[in-house]
Amino acid sequence: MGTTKNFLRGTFFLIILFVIFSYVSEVFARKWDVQKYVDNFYEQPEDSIDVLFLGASGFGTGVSPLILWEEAGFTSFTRAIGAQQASMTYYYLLESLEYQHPDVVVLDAYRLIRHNKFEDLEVSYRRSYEPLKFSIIKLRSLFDITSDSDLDTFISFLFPFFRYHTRWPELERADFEFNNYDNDYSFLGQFPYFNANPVEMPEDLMAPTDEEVEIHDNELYYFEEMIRICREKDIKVFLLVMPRLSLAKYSEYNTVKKFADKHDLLFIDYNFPELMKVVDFNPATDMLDQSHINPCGAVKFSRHLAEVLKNNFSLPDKRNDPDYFQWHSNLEKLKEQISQNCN
Amino acid sequence: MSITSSIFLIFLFFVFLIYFLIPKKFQWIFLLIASYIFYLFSGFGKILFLLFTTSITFFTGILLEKTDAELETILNNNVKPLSKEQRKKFKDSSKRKKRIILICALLLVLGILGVPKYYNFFAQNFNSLANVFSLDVDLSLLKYLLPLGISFYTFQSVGYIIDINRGKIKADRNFAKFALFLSFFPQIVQGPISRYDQLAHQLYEPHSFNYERVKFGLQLMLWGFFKKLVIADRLSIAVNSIFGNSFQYEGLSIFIGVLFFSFQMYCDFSGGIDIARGIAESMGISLVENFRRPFFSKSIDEYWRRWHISLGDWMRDYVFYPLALSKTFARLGKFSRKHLGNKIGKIIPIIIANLITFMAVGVWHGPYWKYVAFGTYYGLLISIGLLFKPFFQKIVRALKINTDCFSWRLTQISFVFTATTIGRYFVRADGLRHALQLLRQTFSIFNPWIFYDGTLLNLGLRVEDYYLLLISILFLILLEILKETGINIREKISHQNLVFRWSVYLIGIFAVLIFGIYGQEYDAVEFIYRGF
Repeated sequence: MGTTKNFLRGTFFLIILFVIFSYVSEVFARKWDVQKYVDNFYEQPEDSIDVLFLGASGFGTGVSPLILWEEAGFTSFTRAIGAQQASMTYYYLLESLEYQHPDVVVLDAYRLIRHNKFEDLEVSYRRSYEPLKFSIIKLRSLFDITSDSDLDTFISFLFPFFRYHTRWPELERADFEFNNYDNDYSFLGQFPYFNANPVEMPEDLMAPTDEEVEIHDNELYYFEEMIRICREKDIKVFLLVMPRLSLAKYSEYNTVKKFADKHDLLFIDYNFPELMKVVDFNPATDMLDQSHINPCGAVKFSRHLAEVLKNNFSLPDKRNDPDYFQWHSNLEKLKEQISQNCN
Repeated sequence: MSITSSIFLIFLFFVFLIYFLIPKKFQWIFLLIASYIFYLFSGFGKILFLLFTTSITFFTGILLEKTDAELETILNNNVKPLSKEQRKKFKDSSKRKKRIILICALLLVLGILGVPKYYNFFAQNFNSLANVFSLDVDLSLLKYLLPLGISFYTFQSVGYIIDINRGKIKADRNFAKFALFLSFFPQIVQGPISRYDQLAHQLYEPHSFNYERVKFGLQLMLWGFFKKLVIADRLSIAVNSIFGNSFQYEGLSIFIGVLFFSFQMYCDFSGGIDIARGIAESMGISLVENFRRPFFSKSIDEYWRRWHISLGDWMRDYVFYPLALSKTFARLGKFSRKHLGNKIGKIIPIIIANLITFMAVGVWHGPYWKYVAFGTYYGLLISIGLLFKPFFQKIVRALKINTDCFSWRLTQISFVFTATTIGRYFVRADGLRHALQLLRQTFSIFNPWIFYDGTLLNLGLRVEDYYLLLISILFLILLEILKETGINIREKISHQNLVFRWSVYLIGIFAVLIFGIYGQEYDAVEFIYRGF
């Protein structure tokens, strides 16, 4: 048999192998619930978002872009992934800026003073990394987050199939249909978990102290890089901490405040009881679990947040813009759910 | 670098690519470089051991051949013919010289294996003995890791030296080429133990890319990966669970553990060898077969001709025959025939040579008493077989047992399988005492309820894993039966239509990718024989 024929045969075999591998990878892929938030971001028209929230679950549960819209008329999106590390937030910023040019970027300052080793938070990295569309930025994030790991870890991020191939006994119909999440999701990154778990307000919440905590070099680097990039693109940066109740510490507030002052940034920490009183926060009805608020609480904080953003930044009011008509109907959907679930 | 790791597969891809792209005359040089790069992954210091053995073996070969050549010159080139006495004198002197060279070389080559591998064993036992006699001696133990594949390349070296001494092969005159013979990367980790006359010329010859050969090689590799990653490493989870907490188990649980270990060991070792042979075959190099369906053996003797064949052959040629044919054993034969009669007396030297050979097989596996017991166990089984063969034959005749039927062959196979399974208690246990304890625990209770009370589901395997293992092992046995009947499966597949062929390949690839035990969740278990 001729060499060319063999070469063509081999190539064709490899193509079939690759096609089947792609299909099998999709079947075995972990179907993250956050995929709908990530996809919802890609669905937004280019340059349509005025305020971008980037961070971890505190933002996902606590910030409602639709309530902000209702209150102040600017558009926003919450790109929040549970336990997201500063490095991934950085790549989310880079990726977001490929699609949007917001006026304000709000960073989850809670991640500034939280550092976890890669080995301890593999799930968090995968939850942030895997739902993203393939891009150079995604590849860069891959090299970055696996820089201290072995080759197998790198390969398993590049081809997640090698991480999930052991799922074969637990595959379900939804795995083969690649469609096991809510396609109608339209809350712009806000987590729609309406459960309410009454939580008692900690007595010594944010008890004042002069102490500070240490910022890990890694977090410091990524936050400073994000600030630098935003400034380069003429984007304002705002540091925010959503209520964490028992996890909140005054020493951490001191550290973030110092950082914010150093970089001349606006900073709000909603863990102060006075602020909670202002927004009419009720831990008996507004908490999802011990450290996250639910959409009922998110409505209260988002209303206050809309005022803060409106007063501190020059943001457009697009409520009468026909291009954003869809935002009104999305808001209606959210309000319907709120009225059903919140007192 | 394990040969089932992703880094190895990347390494292999580039080796294949470069091997077939460079001019053919440089192929062997590239293989040498690749082999040393592969070895380098095990640590720089370890290469010194390999280089030491390579140098000693290489120069010994030349020296032995030179001694022969000198003798030839003296015997043939004398103008004045030598007298018979003078010829004898020169021959004796040359023989003596060769013996000294041989002994020195073997001491050095085996010493470099023996010191790191057996020193601690010797020191520990010496200290224990000194303690018994209240002597104030304490040999300190060495802390290091055994150089990769040292047992395998040392045996290749010894075989090479002895073959030259016997005049069976010519000494290699190219150091780099010889270094490749000892370090060829697919086989250095766990064999097979190749002979110079079988392997060396293949390594040095140029090889063109041959589509069919590469295809066959890759198929063999795939089958090796299947055995290793799907069967062996899956079984290892349950095996490690049982033997890691063996005090918790008894009766059939232990036996199931050993049974699993039997299949694990076979699939692990033969899988690794298939990968090595597949890599070599893709490059046009044929490595010797190391397994020939050992579980179909009808006698222990046959089992050792089918299991780890290259080690068995090596022991036969370089330990058993030199012993059995030595003057000492000839004298022993005479003595035993005189005192025990012709029938038994004739067998006694063979039995003793067998016992020594199998103890050497045992000790080769590792510096532990359990391996001494393992070797002795097989030596004794074979000896009993030899001694009582006439007696067994008489019983068979007396009971009019039909030995030419399937049920008899099945009985024999079952007997050998059970006997070898018992032998594996010694291999898997942590030590000799532990092995005996496990045997005791096995026979302490008959507890068939472990098959349905959930015990087996607490060994780290899910129900689905057991189904998968059952299907995989049945498939393995089916293929072994087909091979046993002389069917070449790869040939058979190659004669099928393209759609069928490709479907087989794709199913094989995805079976390994999906069902293999690898990746972050599990580390592929180190090849068992890599440790020997």
